[in-house]
Amino acid sequence: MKTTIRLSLSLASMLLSGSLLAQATEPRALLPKPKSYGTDQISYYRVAASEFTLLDTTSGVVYTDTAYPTANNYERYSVGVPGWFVASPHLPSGAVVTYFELDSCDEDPVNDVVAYLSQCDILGHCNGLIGMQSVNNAIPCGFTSLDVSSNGLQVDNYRNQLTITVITQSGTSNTRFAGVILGYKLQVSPPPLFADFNDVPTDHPYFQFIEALSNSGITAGCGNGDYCPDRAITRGEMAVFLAKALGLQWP
Amino acid sequence: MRRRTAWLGLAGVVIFSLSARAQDARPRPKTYGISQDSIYHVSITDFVPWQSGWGTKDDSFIGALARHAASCSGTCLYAIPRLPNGALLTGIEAYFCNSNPDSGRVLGIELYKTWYDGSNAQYLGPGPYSATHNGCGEFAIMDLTSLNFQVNYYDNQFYLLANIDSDDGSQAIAGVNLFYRLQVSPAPPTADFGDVPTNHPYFQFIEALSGSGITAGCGNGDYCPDRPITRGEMAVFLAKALGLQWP
Repeated sequence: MKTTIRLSLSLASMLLSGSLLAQATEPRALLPKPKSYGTDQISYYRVAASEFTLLDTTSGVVYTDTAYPTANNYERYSVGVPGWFVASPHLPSGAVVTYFELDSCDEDPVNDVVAYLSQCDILGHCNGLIGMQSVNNAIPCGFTSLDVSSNGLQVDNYRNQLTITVITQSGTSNTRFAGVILGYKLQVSPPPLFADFNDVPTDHPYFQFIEALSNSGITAGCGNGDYCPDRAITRGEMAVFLAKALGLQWP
Repeated sequence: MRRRTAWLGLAGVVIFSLSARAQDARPRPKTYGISQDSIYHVSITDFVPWQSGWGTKDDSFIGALARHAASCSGTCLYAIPRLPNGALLTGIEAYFCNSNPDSGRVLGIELYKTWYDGSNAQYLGPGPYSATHNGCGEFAIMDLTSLNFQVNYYDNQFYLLANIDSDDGSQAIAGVNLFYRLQVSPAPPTADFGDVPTNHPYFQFIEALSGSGITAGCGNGDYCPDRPITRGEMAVFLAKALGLQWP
Protein backbone atom coordinates (compact mmCIF):
# COMPACT_ATOMS: atom_id res chain seq x y z
CA MET A 1 0.00 0.00 0.00
CA LYS A 2 2.85 2.36 0.83
CA THR A 3 4.42 1.55 -2.48
CA THR A 4 1.21 2.42 -4.21
CA ILE A 5 1.10 5.79 -2.53
CA ARG A 6 4.69 6.51 -3.48
CA LEU A 7 3.99 5.57 -7.07
CA SER A 8 0.98 7.84 -6.95
CA LEU A 9 3.02 10.81 -5.82
CA SER A 10 5.76 10.32 -8.37
CA LEU A 11 3.24 10.00 -11.18
CA ALA A 12 1.30 13.00 -10.01
CA SER A 13 4.38 15.17 -9.83
CA MET A 14 5.46 14.25 -13.32
CA LEU A 15 5.30 16.97 -15.90
CA LEU A 16 2.48 16.64 -18.31
CA SER A 17 3.76 16.62 -21.84
CA GLY A 18 1.85 17.12 -25.02
CA SER A 19 -0.77 19.77 -25.39
CA LEU A 20 -4.32 19.66 -24.22
CA LEU A 21 -6.27 19.40 -27.43
CA ALA A 22 -9.85 19.26 -26.49
CA GLN A 23 -12.20 19.08 -23.59
CA ALA A 24 -15.75 18.69 -24.65
CA THR A 25 -18.69 16.37 -24.71
CA GLU A 26 -20.21 16.62 -28.15
CA PRO A 27 -19.66 16.82 -30.99
CA ARG A 28 -16.59 14.67 -31.41
CA ALA A 29 -16.21 16.21 -34.83
CA LEU A 30 -14.06 18.79 -33.08
CA LEU A 31 -11.22 16.37 -33.75
CA PRO A 32 -10.32 15.04 -37.16
CA LYS A 33 -11.64 11.55 -37.62
CA PRO A 34 -8.72 9.14 -37.87
CA LYS A 35 -8.35 7.09 -41.02
CA SER A 36 -7.76 3.87 -39.05
CA TYR A 37 -5.00 2.35 -41.17
CA GLY A 38 -1.68 3.13 -42.65
CA THR A 39 1.62 4.80 -42.11
CA ASP A 40 0.71 8.42 -42.62
CA GLN A 41 -2.38 8.75 -40.47
CA ILE A 42 -3.95 7.83 -37.19
CA SER A 43 -5.60 4.53 -36.35
CA TYR A 44 -7.66 4.05 -33.22
CA TYR A 45 -7.26 1.47 -30.46
CA ARG A 46 -9.96 1.39 -27.82
CA VAL A 47 -9.34 0.04 -24.34
CA ALA A 48 -12.77 -0.34 -22.75
CA ALA A 49 -13.34 -0.05 -19.01
CA SER A 50 -14.00 -3.80 -18.88
CA GLU A 51 -10.36 -4.46 -19.82
CA PHE A 52 -9.05 -2.57 -16.80
CA THR A 53 -8.19 -4.49 -13.65
CA LEU A 54 -7.48 -3.09 -10.23
CA LEU A 55 -3.89 -2.57 -9.19
CA ASP A 56 -4.64 -3.91 -5.72
CA THR A 57 -7.60 -5.72 -4.25
CA THR A 58 -5.95 -6.87 -1.05
CA SER A 59 -6.99 -3.82 0.93
CA GLY A 60 -10.59 -4.36 0.00
CA VAL A 61 -10.69 -2.17 -3.09
CA VAL A 62 -13.50 -3.23 -5.33
CA TYR A 63 -15.01 -1.77 -8.46
CA THR A 64 -18.43 -1.74 -9.90
CA ASP A 65 -19.87 -0.85 -13.27
CA THR A 66 -22.85 1.37 -13.82
CA ALA A 67 -26.09 -0.42 -14.29
CA TYR A 68 -25.81 -1.30 -17.94
CA PRO A 69 -28.06 -2.16 -19.71
CA THR A 70 -30.88 -0.73 -17.61
CA ALA A 71 -29.14 2.60 -17.22
CA ASN A 72 -28.05 2.49 -20.86
CA ASN A 73 -24.44 3.30 -20.07
CA TYR A 74 -21.31 1.44 -19.11
CA GLU A 75 -18.74 3.03 -16.86
CA ARG A 76 -16.48 1.72 -14.11
CA TYR A 77 -15.61 3.18 -10.73
CA SER A 78 -14.06 2.14 -7.44
CA VAL A 79 -16.09 1.80 -4.28
CA GLY A 80 -15.08 3.40 -1.00
CA VAL A 81 -11.52 4.41 -1.80
CA PRO A 82 -9.68 5.77 -4.86
CA GLY A 83 -9.33 3.11 -7.52
CA TRP A 84 -6.16 2.43 -9.48
CA PHE A 85 -7.01 0.64 -12.69
CA VAL A 86 -4.44 -0.73 -15.12
CA ALA A 87 -4.67 -2.13 -18.64
CA SER A 88 -2.22 -2.88 -21.44
CA PRO A 89 -3.15 -2.11 -25.03
CA HIS A 90 -1.96 -4.57 -27.65
CA LEU A 91 -0.79 -2.34 -30.47
CA PRO A 92 1.27 -3.49 -33.48
CA SER A 93 5.02 -3.52 -32.88
CA GLY A 94 6.74 -0.47 -34.29
CA ALA A 95 3.64 1.70 -34.28
CA VAL A 96 4.05 5.24 -32.95
CA VAL A 97 1.47 6.42 -30.45
CA THR A 98 0.10 9.79 -31.46
CA TYR A 99 -3.06 10.35 -29.47
CA PHE A 100 -4.31 9.62 -25.96
CA GLU A 101 -7.91 10.12 -24.91
CA LEU A 102 -9.78 9.53 -21.66
CA ASP A 103 -13.54 9.08 -21.67
CA SER A 104 -14.89 9.68 -18.22
CA CYS A 105 -17.53 11.24 -16.03
CA ASP A 106 -16.61 13.64 -13.26
CA GLU A 107 -19.43 14.90 -11.08
CA ASP A 108 -17.21 15.49 -8.05
CA PRO A 109 -16.22 19.12 -7.28
CA VAL A 110 -12.84 18.09 -5.84
CA ASN A 111 -11.79 14.69 -7.11
CA ASP A 112 -11.00 13.77 -10.69
CA VAL A 113 -10.46 10.90 -13.03
CA VAL A 114 -6.81 10.81 -14.06
CA ALA A 115 -5.21 8.73 -16.79
CA TYR A 116 -1.51 8.00 -17.33
CA LEU A 117 0.20 6.34 -20.23
CA SER A 118 3.40 4.55 -19.20
CA GLN A 119 6.06 2.48 -20.85
CA CYS A 120 6.76 -0.49 -18.56
CA ASP A 121 9.68 -2.81 -19.06
CA ILE A 122 9.36 -6.55 -18.96
CA LEU A 123 9.97 -6.57 -15.21
CA GLY A 124 7.15 -4.13 -14.65
CA HIS A 125 9.22 -1.01 -13.98
CA CYS A 126 7.21 1.85 -15.40
CA ASN A 127 8.00 5.35 -16.52
CA GLY A 128 4.97 7.57 -16.21
CA LEU A 129 5.14 9.47 -19.43
CA ILE A 130 1.92 11.24 -20.19
CA GLY A 131 -0.97 12.13 -17.98
CA MET A 132 -4.28 13.91 -18.21
CA GLN A 133 -7.15 14.86 -15.99
CA SER A 134 -10.80 14.15 -16.46
CA VAL A 135 -13.33 16.58 -17.75
CA ASN A 136 -14.32 18.83 -14.91
CA ASN A 137 -17.65 18.69 -13.22
CA ALA A 138 -19.01 21.54 -15.26
CA ILE A 139 -19.18 19.09 -18.15
CA PRO A 140 -19.98 15.86 -16.32
CA CYS A 141 -19.34 13.30 -19.04
CA GLY A 142 -17.02 13.63 -22.00
CA PHE A 143 -13.47 13.21 -23.16
CA THR A 144 -10.11 14.82 -22.67
CA SER A 145 -7.38 14.20 -25.15
CA LEU A 146 -3.71 14.83 -25.69
CA ASP A 147 -1.68 15.03 -28.87
CA VAL A 148 1.27 12.82 -27.94
CA SER A 149 2.77 12.57 -31.41
CA SER A 150 5.90 14.39 -30.28
CA ASN A 151 6.53 12.10 -27.31
CA GLY A 152 8.35 9.45 -29.30
CA LEU A 153 6.26 6.60 -27.90
CA GLN A 154 6.96 3.63 -30.11
CA VAL A 155 5.36 0.26 -29.46
CA ASP A 156 8.00 -2.32 -28.60
CA ASN A 157 6.23 -5.39 -27.17
CA TYR A 158 9.55 -7.18 -26.75
CA ARG A 159 11.14 -5.52 -23.72
CA ASN A 160 8.65 -2.74 -23.13
CA GLN A 161 4.90 -2.65 -22.95
CA LEU A 162 2.52 0.30 -22.92
CA THR A 163 0.45 0.41 -19.76
CA ILE A 164 -2.48 2.69 -19.06
CA THR A 165 -3.38 3.67 -15.52
CA VAL A 166 -6.72 5.27 -14.70
CA ILE A 167 -7.37 6.62 -11.23
CA THR A 168 -10.90 7.27 -10.06
CA GLN A 169 -10.21 9.53 -7.12
CA SER A 170 -13.49 9.86 -5.30
CA GLY A 171 -14.23 6.20 -4.70
CA THR A 172 -17.85 6.90 -5.59
CA SER A 173 -19.86 6.85 -8.79
CA ASN A 174 -19.12 10.56 -9.07
CA THR A 175 -15.80 9.75 -10.75
CA ARG A 176 -16.05 6.96 -13.29
CA PHE A 177 -14.68 6.09 -16.71
CA ALA A 178 -15.80 4.34 -19.86
CA GLY A 179 -12.41 3.74 -21.42
CA VAL A 180 -9.33 5.11 -23.08
CA ILE A 181 -8.53 5.55 -26.75
CA LEU A 182 -5.07 5.49 -28.24
CA GLY A 183 -4.25 6.74 -31.70
CA TYR A 184 -1.24 5.30 -33.51
CA LYS A 185 0.52 5.19 -36.86
CA LEU A 186 2.05 2.15 -38.46
CA GLN A 187 5.73 2.50 -39.30
CA VAL A 188 7.95 0.85 -41.88
CA SER A 189 11.23 -0.24 -40.29
CA PRO A 190 14.07 2.21 -40.90
CA PRO A 191 16.53 1.13 -43.60
CA PRO A 192 19.19 -1.29 -42.34
CA LEU A 193 22.91 -0.69 -42.77
CA PHE A 194 23.51 -3.39 -45.34
CA ALA A 195 21.69 -4.51 -48.45
CA ASP A 196 20.20 -7.99 -48.82
CA PHE A 197 20.12 -7.84 -52.61
CA ASN A 198 22.85 -6.93 -55.10
CA ASP A 199 20.51 -4.96 -57.33
CA VAL A 200 18.96 -2.97 -54.48
CA PRO A 201 21.88 -1.09 -52.92
CA THR A 202 21.44 1.09 -49.85
CA ASP A 203 20.91 4.19 -52.02
CA HIS A 204 18.11 2.63 -54.07
CA PRO A 205 14.91 4.70 -53.71
CA TYR A 206 12.95 1.62 -52.58
CA PHE A 207 15.74 0.18 -50.43
CA GLN A 208 13.93 0.62 -47.10
CA PHE A 209 10.77 -1.09 -48.30
CA ILE A 210 12.40 -3.97 -50.14
CA GLU A 211 14.51 -4.71 -47.06
CA ALA A 212 11.39 -4.63 -44.90
CA LEU A 213 9.78 -7.26 -47.12
CA SER A 214 12.92 -9.36 -47.19
CA ASN A 215 13.40 -9.23 -43.42
CA SER A 216 9.79 -10.24 -42.88
CA GLY A 217 10.33 -13.40 -44.90
CA ILE A 218 7.82 -12.26 -47.52
CA THR A 219 10.31 -12.40 -50.38
CA ALA A 220 13.64 -14.07 -50.96
CA GLY A 221 14.23 -12.17 -54.19
CA CYS A 222 14.25 -13.37 -57.79
CA GLY A 223 17.33 -15.58 -57.52
CA ASN A 224 21.12 -15.10 -57.74
CA GLY A 225 21.03 -12.68 -54.81
CA ASP A 226 18.90 -10.20 -56.75
CA TYR A 227 15.44 -8.79 -56.18
CA CYS A 228 14.73 -7.51 -59.75
CA PRO A 229 13.02 -4.31 -58.55
CA ASP A 230 12.24 -3.06 -62.09
CA ARG A 231 10.77 -6.26 -63.48
CA ALA A 232 6.98 -6.29 -63.87
CA ILE A 233 5.30 -8.50 -61.30
CA THR A 234 2.91 -11.23 -62.40
CA ARG A 235 -0.45 -11.92 -60.80
CA GLY A 236 0.95 -15.21 -59.55
CA GLU A 237 3.89 -13.52 -57.79
CA MET A 238 1.51 -10.98 -56.32
CA ALA A 239 -0.48 -13.83 -54.78
CA VAL A 240 2.66 -15.19 -53.12
CA PHE A 241 3.57 -11.76 -51.73
CA LEU A 242 0.14 -11.13 -50.25
CA ALA A 243 -0.50 -14.63 -48.91
CA LYS A 244 2.87 -14.66 -47.14
CA ALA A 245 2.58 -11.08 -45.92
CA LEU A 246 -0.80 -11.61 -44.29
CA GLY A 247 -0.49 -15.25 -43.29
CA LEU A 248 -3.55 -16.09 -45.38
CA GLN A 249 -5.99 -17.80 -45.15
CA TRP A 250 -7.07 -19.63 -42.05
CA PRO A 251 -10.65 -20.57 -41.39
CA MET B 1 13.92 5.11 5.81
CA ARG B 2 11.69 5.77 2.88
CA ARG B 3 14.52 7.24 0.87
CA ARG B 4 16.73 4.26 1.60
CA THR B 5 14.04 1.89 0.35
CA ALA B 6 13.77 3.86 -2.85
CA TRP B 7 17.54 3.66 -3.39
CA LEU B 8 17.54 -0.07 -2.87
CA GLY B 9 14.75 -0.31 -5.41
CA LEU B 10 16.68 1.72 -7.92
CA ALA B 11 19.77 -0.42 -7.46
CA GLY B 12 17.64 -3.49 -7.95
CA VAL B 13 16.31 -2.16 -11.22
CA VAL B 14 19.81 -1.60 -12.59
CA ILE B 15 21.10 -5.00 -11.51
CA PHE B 16 18.15 -6.90 -12.81
CA SER B 17 18.06 -5.19 -16.16
CA LEU B 18 21.75 -5.92 -16.64
CA SER B 19 21.38 -9.55 -15.73
CA ALA B 20 18.36 -9.88 -17.98
CA ARG B 21 20.33 -8.53 -20.91
CA ALA B 22 23.23 -10.86 -20.26
CA GLN B 23 20.95 -13.88 -20.32
CA ASP B 24 19.20 -12.71 -23.44
CA ALA B 25 20.05 -15.69 -25.60
CA ARG B 26 17.07 -15.68 -27.92
CA PRO B 27 17.45 -13.32 -30.88
CA ARG B 28 15.03 -10.46 -30.96
CA PRO B 29 12.12 -11.50 -33.16
CA LYS B 30 11.52 -9.52 -36.31
CA THR B 31 7.89 -9.09 -35.26
CA TYR B 32 6.30 -10.00 -38.54
CA GLY B 33 6.35 -12.59 -41.24
CA ILE B 34 6.08 -16.26 -41.92
CA SER B 35 9.69 -17.37 -41.71
CA GLN B 36 10.46 -16.05 -38.25
CA ASP B 37 9.03 -15.20 -34.88
CA SER B 38 6.69 -12.37 -34.06
CA ILE B 39 6.01 -11.28 -30.47
CA TYR B 40 2.84 -11.07 -28.50
CA HIS B 41 3.27 -9.57 -25.07
CA VAL B 42 0.93 -10.95 -22.45
CA SER B 43 0.85 -8.23 -19.85
CA ILE B 44 0.15 -8.95 -16.21
CA THR B 45 -3.00 -6.91 -16.66
CA ASP B 46 -4.16 -9.64 -19.04
CA PHE B 47 -3.98 -12.16 -16.20
CA VAL B 48 -7.24 -12.20 -14.28
CA PRO B 49 -8.58 -14.50 -11.57
CA TRP B 50 -11.14 -17.04 -12.68
CA GLN B 51 -13.10 -16.47 -9.50
CA SER B 52 -13.87 -12.84 -8.77
CA GLY B 53 -13.46 -13.24 -5.01
CA TRP B 54 -9.78 -13.97 -5.34
CA GLY B 55 -8.74 -10.54 -6.56
CA THR B 56 -5.25 -9.56 -7.58
CA LYS B 57 -2.41 -7.49 -6.26
CA ASP B 58 0.20 -5.72 -8.37
CA ASP B 59 3.17 -3.66 -7.39
CA SER B 60 4.24 -6.09 -4.75
CA PHE B 61 7.89 -5.56 -5.59
CA ILE B 62 9.38 -2.10 -5.36
CA GLY B 63 8.23 0.11 -8.18
CA ALA B 64 7.33 -2.85 -10.33
CA LEU B 65 4.06 -4.03 -11.70
CA ALA B 66 4.13 -7.72 -10.87
CA ARG B 67 0.91 -9.61 -10.18
CA HIS B 68 -0.28 -12.40 -7.97
CA ALA B 69 -3.71 -13.49 -6.84
CA ALA B 70 -4.80 -11.82 -3.63
CA SER B 71 -6.36 -14.72 -1.76
CA CYS B 72 -5.73 -17.81 -3.79
CA SER B 73 -2.70 -20.05 -4.17
CA GLY B 74 -1.88 -22.14 -7.21
CA THR B 75 -3.36 -21.76 -10.68
CA CYS B 76 -5.68 -18.86 -9.91
CA LEU B 77 -4.94 -16.44 -12.77
CA TYR B 78 -5.41 -17.00 -16.46
CA ALA B 79 -4.83 -14.98 -19.63
CA ILE B 80 -6.14 -15.35 -23.16
CA PRO B 81 -3.64 -14.06 -25.72
CA ARG B 82 -5.12 -12.85 -28.98
CA LEU B 83 -2.75 -14.29 -31.53
CA PRO B 84 -3.59 -14.26 -35.24
CA ASN B 85 -5.66 -17.20 -36.38
CA GLY B 86 -3.49 -19.91 -37.94
CA ALA B 87 -0.30 -18.73 -36.24
CA LEU B 88 2.06 -21.40 -34.99
CA LEU B 89 3.19 -21.07 -31.37
CA THR B 90 6.99 -21.22 -31.34
CA GLY B 91 8.16 -20.04 -27.93
CA ILE B 92 7.44 -18.43 -24.60
CA GLU B 93 9.41 -16.47 -22.06
CA ALA B 94 8.26 -15.36 -18.65
CA TYR B 95 9.51 -12.90 -16.08
CA PHE B 96 9.08 -13.50 -12.40
CA CYS B 97 9.49 -11.81 -9.06
CA ASN B 98 10.39 -14.36 -6.42
CA SER B 99 11.58 -13.81 -2.87
CA ASN B 100 10.71 -17.37 -1.93
CA PRO B 101 13.28 -19.36 -3.87
CA ASP B 102 14.34 -22.90 -3.08
CA SER B 103 11.28 -23.34 -0.94
CA GLY B 104 9.62 -25.85 -3.18
CA ARG B 105 6.97 -23.26 -3.90
CA VAL B 106 5.92 -23.19 -7.51
CA LEU B 107 6.03 -20.03 -9.64
CA GLY B 108 5.38 -20.61 -13.29
CA ILE B 109 3.26 -20.55 -16.40
CA GLU B 110 1.27 -23.43 -17.86
CA LEU B 111 -0.27 -23.78 -21.32
CA TYR B 112 -3.78 -25.03 -21.90
CA LYS B 113 -6.52 -25.15 -24.48
CA THR B 114 -10.20 -25.89 -24.37
CA TRP B 115 -12.73 -26.65 -27.02
CA TYR B 116 -14.57 -23.69 -28.50
CA ASP B 117 -17.30 -24.03 -25.86
CA GLY B 118 -14.86 -23.99 -22.96
CA SER B 119 -15.13 -27.70 -22.30
CA ASN B 120 -12.50 -30.41 -22.49
CA ALA B 121 -9.62 -28.39 -21.03
CA GLN B 122 -6.39 -29.94 -22.17
CA TYR B 123 -2.95 -29.41 -20.68
CA LEU B 124 -0.57 -28.58 -23.51
CA GLY B 125 2.56 -28.45 -21.43
CA PRO B 126 4.55 -26.42 -18.96
CA GLY B 127 5.77 -22.91 -19.68
CA PRO B 128 8.74 -21.37 -17.90
CA TYR B 129 9.11 -21.92 -14.18
CA SER B 130 11.10 -19.98 -11.61
CA ALA B 131 12.71 -22.24 -9.06
CA THR B 132 15.84 -20.77 -7.60
CA HIS B 133 15.96 -17.13 -8.58
CA ASN B 134 15.72 -14.53 -5.86
CA GLY B 135 14.29 -11.15 -6.83
CA CYS B 136 12.70 -9.78 -9.99
CA GLY B 137 14.25 -10.52 -13.31
CA GLU B 138 14.64 -14.18 -13.94
CA PHE B 139 13.23 -15.11 -17.24
CA ALA B 140 13.19 -18.45 -18.86
CA ILE B 141 12.87 -19.04 -22.59
CA MET B 142 11.25 -22.16 -23.90
CA ASP B 143 11.09 -23.42 -27.43
CA LEU B 144 7.53 -24.54 -28.11
CA THR B 145 7.86 -25.61 -31.73
CA SER B 146 7.71 -29.27 -30.73
CA LEU B 147 4.28 -28.58 -29.25
CA ASN B 148 3.12 -27.94 -32.81
CA PHE B 149 0.24 -25.85 -31.47
CA GLN B 150 -1.59 -23.73 -33.99
CA VAL B 151 -4.01 -20.96 -33.06
CA ASN B 152 -7.49 -21.97 -34.14
CA TYR B 153 -10.31 -19.80 -32.84
CA TYR B 154 -12.95 -21.86 -34.58
CA ASP B 155 -12.21 -25.11 -32.80
CA ASN B 156 -10.48 -24.19 -29.58
CA GLN B 157 -9.31 -21.52 -27.19
CA PHE B 158 -5.68 -21.26 -26.10
CA TYR B 159 -4.89 -19.79 -22.71
CA LEU B 160 -2.16 -19.45 -20.10
CA LEU B 161 -2.44 -20.26 -16.43
CA ALA B 162 -0.16 -18.60 -13.89
CA ASN B 163 0.74 -21.03 -11.15
CA ILE B 164 1.76 -19.04 -8.06
CA ASP B 165 2.05 -20.94 -4.81
CA SER B 166 2.35 -17.88 -2.55
CA ASP B 167 -0.41 -15.31 -2.29
CA ASP B 168 1.43 -13.15 0.23
CA GLY B 169 3.39 -11.10 -2.31
CA SER B 170 6.57 -13.12 -2.12
CA GLN B 171 5.93 -14.57 -5.59
CA ALA B 172 4.53 -12.81 -8.64
CA ILE B 173 4.69 -12.75 -12.42
CA ALA B 174 5.95 -9.64 -14.21
CA GLY B 175 5.13 -10.53 -17.79
CA VAL B 176 5.07 -13.11 -20.52
CA ASN B 177 6.14 -12.94 -24.14
CA LEU B 178 4.74 -15.37 -26.65
CA PHE B 179 6.51 -16.03 -29.93
CA TYR B 180 4.59 -17.16 -32.97
CA ARG B 181 4.88 -17.50 -36.71
CA LEU B 182 2.32 -16.61 -39.30
CA GLN B 183 1.47 -19.49 -41.61
CA VAL B 184 0.05 -19.68 -45.10
CA SER B 185 -2.79 -22.22 -45.25
CA PRO B 186 -1.76 -25.58 -46.65
CA ALA B 187 -2.70 -26.24 -50.25
CA PRO B 188 -6.28 -27.47 -50.63
CA PRO B 189 -7.02 -30.73 -52.48
CA THR B 190 -8.79 -29.11 -55.44
CA ALA B 191 -8.06 -26.09 -57.60
CA ASP B 192 -10.24 -22.98 -57.86
CA PHE B 193 -8.83 -21.84 -61.20
CA GLY B 194 -8.41 -23.71 -64.48
CA ASP B 195 -4.96 -22.27 -65.16
CA VAL B 196 -3.59 -22.83 -61.63
CA PRO B 197 -3.69 -26.61 -61.15
CA THR B 198 -2.70 -28.25 -57.89
CA ASN B 199 0.88 -28.75 -59.12
CA HIS B 200 1.40 -25.07 -60.01
CA PRO B 201 4.35 -23.66 -58.02
CA TYR B 202 2.16 -20.84 -56.62
CA PHE B 203 -0.95 -23.01 -56.15
CA GLN B 204 -0.97 -22.79 -52.35
CA PHE B 205 -0.65 -19.00 -52.35
CA ILE B 206 -3.17 -18.25 -55.08
CA GLU B 207 -5.68 -20.52 -53.36
CA ALA B 208 -5.08 -18.64 -50.11
CA LEU B 209 -5.93 -15.35 -51.84
CA SER B 210 -8.96 -16.82 -53.52
CA GLY B 211 -10.12 -18.42 -50.28
CA SER B 212 -9.86 -15.05 -48.55
CA GLY B 213 -12.04 -13.37 -51.15
CA ILE B 214 -9.24 -11.06 -52.23
CA THR B 215 -9.38 -12.21 -55.83
CA ALA B 216 -11.97 -13.92 -57.97
CA GLY B 217 -9.51 -14.46 -60.83
CA CYS B 218 -9.29 -12.81 -64.23
CA GLY B 219 -12.52 -14.24 -65.62
CA ASN B 220 -13.59 -17.48 -67.32
CA GLY B 221 -12.51 -19.51 -64.29
CA ASP B 222 -8.87 -18.51 -64.74
CA TYR B 223 -6.46 -16.54 -62.57
CA CYS B 224 -3.90 -15.57 -65.27
CA PRO B 225 -0.90 -16.13 -62.96
CA ASP B 226 1.68 -15.16 -65.59
CA ARG B 227 0.07 -11.93 -66.69
CA PRO B 228 1.85 -8.86 -65.38
CA ILE B 229 -0.19 -7.05 -62.79
CA THR B 230 -1.15 -3.46 -63.41
CA ARG B 231 -0.92 -0.73 -60.82
CA GLY B 232 -4.70 -0.65 -60.83
CA GLU B 233 -5.00 -4.38 -60.04
CA MET B 234 -2.36 -3.95 -57.37
CA ALA B 235 -4.52 -1.32 -55.70
CA VAL B 236 -7.50 -3.71 -55.69
CA PHE B 237 -5.45 -6.53 -54.19
CA LEU B 238 -4.00 -4.40 -51.41
CA ALA B 239 -7.19 -2.55 -50.55
CA LYS B 240 -9.16 -5.79 -50.31
CA ALA B 241 -6.44 -7.69 -48.48
CA LEU B 242 -5.98 -5.04 -45.80
CA GLY B 243 -9.59 -3.95 -45.60
CA LEU B 244 -8.56 -0.39 -46.41
CA GLN B 245 -9.37 2.25 -45.39
CA TRP B 246 -11.92 3.09 -42.77
CA PRO B 247 -12.26 6.43 -41.09
